[in-house]
Amino acid sequence: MSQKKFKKGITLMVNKSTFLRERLKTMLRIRIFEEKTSLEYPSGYLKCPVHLYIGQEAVAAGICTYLETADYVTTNHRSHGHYIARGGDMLKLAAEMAGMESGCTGGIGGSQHIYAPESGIMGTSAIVGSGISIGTGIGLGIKMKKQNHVSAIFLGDGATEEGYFYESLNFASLKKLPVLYVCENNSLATQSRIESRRASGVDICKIAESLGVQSIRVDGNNVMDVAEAAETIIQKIRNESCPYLIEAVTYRWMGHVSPYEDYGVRYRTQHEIEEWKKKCPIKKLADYMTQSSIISNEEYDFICKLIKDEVDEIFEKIKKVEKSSAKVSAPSTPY
Amino acid sequence: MTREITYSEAILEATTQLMEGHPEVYLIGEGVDDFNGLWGSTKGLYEKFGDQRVLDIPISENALTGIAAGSALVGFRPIFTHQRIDFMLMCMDALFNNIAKWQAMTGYKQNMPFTARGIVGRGWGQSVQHAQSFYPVFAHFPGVKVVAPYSPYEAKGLLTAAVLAEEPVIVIEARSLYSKKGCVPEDFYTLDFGKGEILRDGSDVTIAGLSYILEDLLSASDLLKDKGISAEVINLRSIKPFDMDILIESVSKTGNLVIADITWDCFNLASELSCRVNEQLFTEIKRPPLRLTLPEMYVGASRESEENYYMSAESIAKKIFCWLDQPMQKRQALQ
Repeated sequence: MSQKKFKKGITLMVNKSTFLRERLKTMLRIRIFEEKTSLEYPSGYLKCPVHLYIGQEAVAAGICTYLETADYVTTNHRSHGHYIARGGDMLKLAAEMAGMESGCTGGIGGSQHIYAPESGIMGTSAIVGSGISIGTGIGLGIKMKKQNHVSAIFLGDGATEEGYFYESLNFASLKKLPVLYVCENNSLATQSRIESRRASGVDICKIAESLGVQSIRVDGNNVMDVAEAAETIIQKIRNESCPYLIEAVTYRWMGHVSPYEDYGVRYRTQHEIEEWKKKCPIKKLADYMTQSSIISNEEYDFICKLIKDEVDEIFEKIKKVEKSSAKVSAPSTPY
Repeated sequence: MTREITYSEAILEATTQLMEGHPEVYLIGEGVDDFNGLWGSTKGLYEKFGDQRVLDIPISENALTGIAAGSALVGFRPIFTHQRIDFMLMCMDALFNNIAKWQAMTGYKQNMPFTARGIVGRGWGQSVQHAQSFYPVFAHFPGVKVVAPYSPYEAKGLLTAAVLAEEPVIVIEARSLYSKKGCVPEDFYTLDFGKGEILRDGSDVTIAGLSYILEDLLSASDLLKDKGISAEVINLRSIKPFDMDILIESVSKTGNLVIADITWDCFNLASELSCRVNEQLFTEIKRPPLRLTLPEMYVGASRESEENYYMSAESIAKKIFCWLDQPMQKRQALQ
């Protein structure tokens, strides 16, 4: 059932130091990229709405660890974390936000429509829940081709309220599709709290199980917990071809669609945000690593600086392109 | 070799040849594996190709449409069949927030080979929901092609072209045409999108239409002939893209345009094309185009209700005759 614990994964035991270092870097890349996005937003050269992922980094970093290059990932409007954790080129992402032709979606999609087939991201829909069906269909394709890839789908708690969720999980369960549903439960859907959307006691894992999809709930702010579940589950999906759901409980720090924090708004208190910030996934891992002498404070600072320099350089490059070169290179309208 | 087969046999033959020649083509939809095979159009395919390529589905049209689209992203060419087109309204999000926009949302880098077959149920006692043909809803969206085959020859050629296209195509089939026979080549062939066809040459009036209404138009043109009026009958065939050239050429010759439609009065192909012909031939046409459409109401189940609601060859001929009888002056171009 939902709360079962897995044995320590092989990777965790053998290569713990390298493993944790890599996860830390991934989370820092997401965090620093998005902090820079927030900082640069007022300058006006980032030309699209952004849904920031800050606070949820452990989920993308933990899950994507065990996905292979040939696996598929379906993301959603809050896509930066998944894209970066899949090794997506940050320069192309920044260019996309700036509406440039060199962006990952040719400057047409913006932040909400990420396309990176080299990372298994075959296109992104911003309509909540619809990606669940797309990713499930990729799973159907994998199964029909008799491949042993995995289709991982990131969805929010809001998306579990859409018909897509029930219809897709039912089909994946019926056809035993190799699909991993990752529900990032941040308890918020735009400015609506889960308590105002679901009766108390409704359990996303139990819904999945009632549709025949095995599930587990993990601490989405603990990358080790996420990764541990992901390793076992992804292996199981690959070997047995069956769907699985991981519910990762986490929290979004920034506004729903905003480059900024949204202190003082009605749907949540500053206290709540502060409490979750104490559970920062990056701080949690960094503290663990320094306390276990896996990493020194100096090395941590050094890693941060390297990533910061990389990200700064990316945004400098984008800023230098004086005018957006986005061109709609669409085929002419059919008539 | 060409021989006479029915409309439904032509659809079956197209599907069979596609599935034999293209392993990536598969059939999906409610009841596609039925013993009576959607009035013969999928008959025997389950026995021939098995449940991996002829997929019956849960009653979840929207998610399954998204799932079929997901499979298209990894190389498949689904044919999604709706035995009643009415259920396509259940799929509007998957079809038009996603499938129609997928190419745009990926910077026009990702193809979306997706075919939907929707069968218009107009016939005996189908009543309010099951007799409708709301194709304009589909044709409104950029990124989707919509065709409406009239003859068995078109049914085969257009379905084949649809499935081999790299973008989504919706095929509007008419249940009332399923048993009609026509000459169809045995060989594999495709028909071009955006091309209409002159069914009968004439010099006094151009009468254009699509799908099942063409039978009535041909009969009406016989009645008009008895009154000394020579009508040119055009099968529009392709709703989007539509064939302006064939209309312009014909109306330039006849000076009169009638467009008969299979749906309600507002926002349909008859309105769209009469507007466009008016724009292009403003000073050449002898009178404003005549649109023959269904009333802005729903048909009832009784025979009387159907007789009052639908046009007949006689009522069409009478309307056209009266319309042509009114003297009109050519309009003058603005100075």
